[in-house]
Amino acid sequence: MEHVIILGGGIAGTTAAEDIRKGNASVEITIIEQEHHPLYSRVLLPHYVKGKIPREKVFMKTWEWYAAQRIEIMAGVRVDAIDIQNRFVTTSEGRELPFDVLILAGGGELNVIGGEPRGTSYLRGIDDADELIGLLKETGMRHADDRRGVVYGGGFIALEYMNIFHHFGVSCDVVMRGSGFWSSVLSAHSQSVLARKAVDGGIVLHTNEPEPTILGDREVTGVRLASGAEIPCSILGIGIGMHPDRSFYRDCDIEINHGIVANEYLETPHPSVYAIGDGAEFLDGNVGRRVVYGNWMNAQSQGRAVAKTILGDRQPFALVSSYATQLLGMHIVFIGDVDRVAAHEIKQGTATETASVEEFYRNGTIVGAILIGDISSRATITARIASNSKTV
Amino acid sequence: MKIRIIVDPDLCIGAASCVTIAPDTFIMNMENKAEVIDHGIMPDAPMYERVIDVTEDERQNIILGAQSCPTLAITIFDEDTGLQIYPTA
Repeated sequence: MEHVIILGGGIAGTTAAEDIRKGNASVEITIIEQEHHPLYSRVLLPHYVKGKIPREKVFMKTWEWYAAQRIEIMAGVRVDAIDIQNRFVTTSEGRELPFDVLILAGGGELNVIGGEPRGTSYLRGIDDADELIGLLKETGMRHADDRRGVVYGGGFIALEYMNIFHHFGVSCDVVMRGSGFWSSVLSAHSQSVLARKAVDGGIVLHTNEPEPTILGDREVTGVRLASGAEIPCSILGIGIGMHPDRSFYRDCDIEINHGIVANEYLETPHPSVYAIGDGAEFLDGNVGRRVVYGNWMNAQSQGRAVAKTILGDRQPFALVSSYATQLLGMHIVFIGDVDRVAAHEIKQGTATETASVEEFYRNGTIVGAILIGDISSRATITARIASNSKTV
Repeated sequence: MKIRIIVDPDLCIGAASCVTIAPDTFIMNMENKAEVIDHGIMPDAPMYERVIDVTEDERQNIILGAQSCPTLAITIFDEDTGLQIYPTA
């Protein structure tokens, strides 16, 4: 092994690089990253936007760290092609870099809607967070009745916008494609608990809406719904998920489904080509099928696991990962595999006006859970999934 | 050796990666925040700051747990020297 190339300098790719270096002092390691920044925590961006931490605290590595580790970081560079047979990648700078080991850690592509006049915000990275802070400052200078925000989406990023707008006293209308929050994942009861919390917090929900039309040429002035109703705003926060860059990987003869297809060792069918992080669809032994998890714990742990495999300690990847967030202080935790279509049975546990617990089963085995408002069973359920305990 | 572990509850978002990696040292409370325990037990109840006596292997694993935190909410000090072990400057 002479040269490891890692596509993507997020937590998955950087952890892999760091751990490979710990076990091999001589191998060349190159990270190719589209953004112009050293590793930072996307999870910290809401804290940064709210002013809870200074900008420098968002960064987890410095440029000097890469140099000290002898990890080459090609920042602001895209990979235009991967030649799997001849084992080299072509970068946006026109360079061809040969590899012995290739780690695909590039995450996914953001879903976007047409037009991005100023005031449209995606919160995909720290540059967006910087811009959002500026927009919030401008909005804060307006009269209190004229601080208006709209959110398009009903998932994790949309929730962050709601919390941020609430924090800054910006009014918040939420336009959702489905019937409510995570409409393809949550039960009607879970959705109603979250909707009640949002409405009690002054948020106005518009459900089952097609993509709204953005109003304003250079600057956002509002959105128009399908009914013709217009909602004025100066900030439009969009959080409608991610998708894999299917055409790119297919062009490179890399199998892709919901993510880059990999086995329980995070290996693709191509020798010494691995997939990790948000963009990997790997075989999860805890739940018995291939899954994509878009959370920090999973990405970092996969970086560690793939480094071990590359260094010769090949073990199947096993982790019950979870994603925790909150809506105006109401705790929400997704654990393991919470795909409603793949589940054979979903049991509604706690079901009160302020709490909902759902457990997901396949072949009689618990594979995932959603906890809203009552997280007391988190550790127990995580342990049950880890041990693949059978239902009684 | 003794180390002082501090969790900043304002930064903790309840990712629970520290609990996954170092379950004898961290536990989630009802506020979905990580608290520090001592080798799986919690004298004086869990708390956000605690000094515990650890072996070198345990220390390394606790540092791994702290490193896994996506909001850098965990700080570790060497109690004898007062030096910050994690995050490193």
